Amino acid sequence: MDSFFAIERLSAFLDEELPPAEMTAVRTAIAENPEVREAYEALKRNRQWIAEHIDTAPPDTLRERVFAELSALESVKEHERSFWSSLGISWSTLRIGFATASVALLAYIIIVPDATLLLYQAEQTAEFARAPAPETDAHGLTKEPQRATESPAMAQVDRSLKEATESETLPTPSAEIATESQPVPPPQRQQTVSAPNAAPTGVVANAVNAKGDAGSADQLSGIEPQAAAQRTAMSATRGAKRATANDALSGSGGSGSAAAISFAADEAPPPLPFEEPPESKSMALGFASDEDSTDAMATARATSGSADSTGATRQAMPVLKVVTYRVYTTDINAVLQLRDTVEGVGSQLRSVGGGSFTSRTLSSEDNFVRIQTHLPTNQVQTVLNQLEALGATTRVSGEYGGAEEVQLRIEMYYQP
Amino acid sequence: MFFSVLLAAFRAPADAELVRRFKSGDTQAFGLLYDRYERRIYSQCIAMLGNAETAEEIAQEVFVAAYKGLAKFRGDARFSTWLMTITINRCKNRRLKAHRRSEQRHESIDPSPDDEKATFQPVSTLDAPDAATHRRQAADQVRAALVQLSEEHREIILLRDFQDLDYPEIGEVLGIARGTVKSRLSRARTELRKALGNQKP
Repeated sequence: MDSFFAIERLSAFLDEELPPAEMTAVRTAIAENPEVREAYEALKRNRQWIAEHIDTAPPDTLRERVFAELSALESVKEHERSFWSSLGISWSTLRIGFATASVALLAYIIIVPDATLLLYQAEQTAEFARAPAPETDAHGLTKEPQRATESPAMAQVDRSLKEATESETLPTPSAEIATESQPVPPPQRQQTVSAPNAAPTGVVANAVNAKGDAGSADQLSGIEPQAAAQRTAMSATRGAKRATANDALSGSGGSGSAAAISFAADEAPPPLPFEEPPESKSMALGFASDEDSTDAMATARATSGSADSTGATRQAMPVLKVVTYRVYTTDINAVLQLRDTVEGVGSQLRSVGGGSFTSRTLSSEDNFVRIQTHLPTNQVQTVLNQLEALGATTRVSGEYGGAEEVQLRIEMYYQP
Repeated sequence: MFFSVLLAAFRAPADAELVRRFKSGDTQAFGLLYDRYERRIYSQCIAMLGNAETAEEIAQEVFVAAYKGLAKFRGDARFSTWLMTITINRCKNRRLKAHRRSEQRHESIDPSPDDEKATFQPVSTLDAPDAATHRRQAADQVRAALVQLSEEHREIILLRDFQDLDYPEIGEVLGIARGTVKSRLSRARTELRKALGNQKP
């Protein structure tokens, strides 16, 4: 009777946990086999011993201790209840309130960082849409509305630019910027994008890479006046990879100055206090990828009602393609210069054939500027060619999928 | 006498009824539940832990935890099963803590039979001196044999043979399948038989 299975069956028989048929079989075995009977009796005896001898009387102090602790527990609860009830708040309401507040706080922590940026962008878009069409001057440049909160230095820069534009002899705004800026160390690594021979009036060269934790430190460096063209160059260099992304957008030719804004590679840049939207590309002033364009087009389709829920497109409506550039910087002077040159570019784009052109000005309290233009598709490639001639990194496939016009957006974010 | 006990048993509210009364605000109902299970819980603790002081402490923790958690007790299982689950878990945690402490001090945590003799007390002191002595010796032998079992075997034997839980309830308390209960109990009984040897308490 040393078989484990036999013992297991006997043990289960003792506990009456066997099926009736097995119970009968084991009962028969116990009756007929002395060895089985002896094993069963031993199990039964041990079980009885356990049942008899484990039972132990608890000490008298146990009950006192338990109920003393329970009383203390109840008094604490009662105290809490009385406190809140004195304030007219029931305990259950309070618990619901705490739970709701916790959920709200959690939701705030999770959602708000993204929502703030989205809200901000939505607000800026709405303001941008509400803004009146910009006036143009005799030179075809967009007139900039008066900024409400304009610093004297910025006003001085703007006045100088305006005077220079009117007299076709642009002064060097960079010099004025340099006077009010802090002493700037010489650029360590700088890449300047030059305009082609037939230099346009406005050149935007942006290279800001805000992606990744490396970031870029920007500094305003040497500014040299040149009579032929106004050049503005910003180059960004990633720390370890030394990957410099720069794009240039050139406008019409004219006199002006050249300003070079470089981003030092070896200096640890201050982290940008805003996050790059996940959909934006790391390339500065780079064209959005095809996927982005497709998404934007889909959005445009959806907003224009050109597609129904089944995806069937009504070809009667024009298809709009949206290409967005995003630029991030922490240097207000760089943004001001970009704004000025971008506006020049805007006018150039319009002269190329843009259906409309609007821009939004930038002040010290405004950290966002957007330039937006609609271009007929057949004119887009002209602009792209100009960009590429300036060294811009473009990634547009050149096919616009039947879009009749393209909306070109340049967004610059500034965070002091 | 017999009829009065029988009548009292009939009149005694069931566990579920006492739980319901407690949930509706009758804290006295918990006192009745305490009286009903105090001895079983304390005995289980002392058999598991082998030390009267620790057993008293754990039993206290068990009842306080039951008092705090009874409002959330849904009644899916029997109250006794639920209470025994708390007890087993508390005992395991205590042994685990003691094990960690002893590892740091390089000591053994298993109670020795001598400790058992020092801590276990007789079931009743109202018996005649000879009978009381005999019972104490028998209890000491059984407890000494139990101490030799692994914790896993000790707890399953106690749940079945002392607490009189059936296999499904044991499985619920220990979180194991019914078949495992059956095989583990068989092994534990075999081990206990070897530990007791030819002793005859």
